[in-house]
Amino acid sequence: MQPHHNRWNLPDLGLGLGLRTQHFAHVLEQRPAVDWFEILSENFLATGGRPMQVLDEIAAHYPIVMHGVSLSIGSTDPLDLNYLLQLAALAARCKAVWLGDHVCWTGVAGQNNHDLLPLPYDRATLAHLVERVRRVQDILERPLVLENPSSYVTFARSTMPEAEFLARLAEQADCALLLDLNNVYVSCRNHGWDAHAYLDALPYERVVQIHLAGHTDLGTHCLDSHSGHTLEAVWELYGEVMRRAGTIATMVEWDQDIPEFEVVHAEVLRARAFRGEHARPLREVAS
Amino acid sequence: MSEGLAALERWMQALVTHPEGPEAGAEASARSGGLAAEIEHEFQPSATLSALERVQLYSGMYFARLVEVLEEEFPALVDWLGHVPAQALFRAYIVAHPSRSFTLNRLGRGLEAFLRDEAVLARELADRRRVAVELARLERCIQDVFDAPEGPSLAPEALSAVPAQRFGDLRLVPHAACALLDFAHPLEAGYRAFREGQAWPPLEPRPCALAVFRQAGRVWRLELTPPQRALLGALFEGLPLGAALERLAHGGHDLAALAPELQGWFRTWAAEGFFAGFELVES
Repeated sequence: MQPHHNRWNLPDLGLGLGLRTQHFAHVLEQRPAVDWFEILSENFLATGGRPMQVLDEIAAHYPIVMHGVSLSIGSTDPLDLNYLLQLAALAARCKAVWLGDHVCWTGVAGQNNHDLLPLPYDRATLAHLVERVRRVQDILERPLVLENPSSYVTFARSTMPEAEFLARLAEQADCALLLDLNNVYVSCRNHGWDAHAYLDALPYERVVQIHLAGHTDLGTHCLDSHSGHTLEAVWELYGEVMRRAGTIATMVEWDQDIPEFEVVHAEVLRARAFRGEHARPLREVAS
Repeated sequence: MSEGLAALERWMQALVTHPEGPEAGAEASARSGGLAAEIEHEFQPSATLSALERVQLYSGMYFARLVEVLEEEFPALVDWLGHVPAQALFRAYIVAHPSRSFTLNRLGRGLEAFLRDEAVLARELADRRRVAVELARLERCIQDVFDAPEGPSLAPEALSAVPAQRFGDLRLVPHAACALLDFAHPLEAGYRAFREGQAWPPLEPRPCALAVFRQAGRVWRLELTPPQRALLGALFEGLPLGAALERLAHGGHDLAALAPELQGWFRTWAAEGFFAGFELVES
């Protein structure tokens, strides 16, 4: 398996974890064998307390990637410049290797619904997003890393598959992609899409990060709950992507019913097996 | 900007956030001059769910998620009112005050003011409303102090450099992560009982003052006596120490009797990080 090369030569950071409050003490005291941590950007904006102290200390020992939920890149409201400037300041403070958000909208008319709401995939939406992504990248002076969403509805007015929309967006806006394989699985199950055809359509030279996570199968639909272990079907998609594209920075998300650190860490160790000869040792202590 | 997309987003937001569900949201959108679309025309069904059932997933998650955030921020209030009435209160609050911030940390900022409206609680809870308002203020303050900007605290030994004859000119700068609160009920006793898993004590009206402050990343509470509250209040308003003590005396406090305690008060307040620094003003 070859290391993956992306359009920006952003590094393959190896295997990472989402930094969650429940694990702060363990990470600070044990310095676990993890290559990097992803933070939820909004948890470290507009706060000056313990979260910032913890982040400063962890950022001194591990690479940090920022992942947000409030950019609302698909909204038709004006971009929130104050929010973007705070993102930029946080990125500078924790020396974020990259930062991103989701292909979605979270609210309109000044409101934030704090949900990653889906967009119709048509030419008008594409043009709207391309223009906004370019402006954000101009402000942040770095490529934006956008994640494929999980969704529960599709729009009758959509004219292209989601993966094609993402590929066109990445190409026309010159942005990077975060491929969430759990979201691919969840959306394909919910909408009757073919996950392999989805993976066929992606521009891997623009994929710089992968997410793995668990979901909840409710029979009538799958819920992107980020709880529990990554399911076998998602691991299979991960293996397929590694074979297609080579090794890509991979991170495990676990956000509900968060177990002890070792349980989440075991998912990271499992991901390591997929990296073949490029499964470098996870560092004992980053320096 | 795509006008079609803008209208679609406003319409979908109306569906997802309407307290009576997506169909009522669609009707409200049409009535208010927004997109007058049929849910079944805009959204496709899946093999197992209708278009309406699919969009109901979003509306259900919208309220569940935001109510959960408020439950985490106001646990004592939930316990005081009861879980079901608190959920109803939070849903009504979310409808009246939807989030307009990128962070959920600010969602509960208007809850105390919302609770002041007698109509927002069921009649059988009317006798709980006054304490509920104060609990909302205390728990919101704890969140604000937790998130307050970083900054150095005044080291207790720093004051020893001030010549004794200049103490009256000492103006102390309050730390952003310290707040003073006044209640008409014994909130500290009630809140402490809640935190310790005990039954609520009687909360008959009695003044109670608290300092809420952050130390080593955690938020703490310190109950203040009336002279402590009066002196800290004057200092937090920006009065120099001499003027603050004069106000204390005019308020009926016996300065001579308090004098032996003052040094200990300041040592505690400085050690707990109540002040960010000091300056000497010209008297």
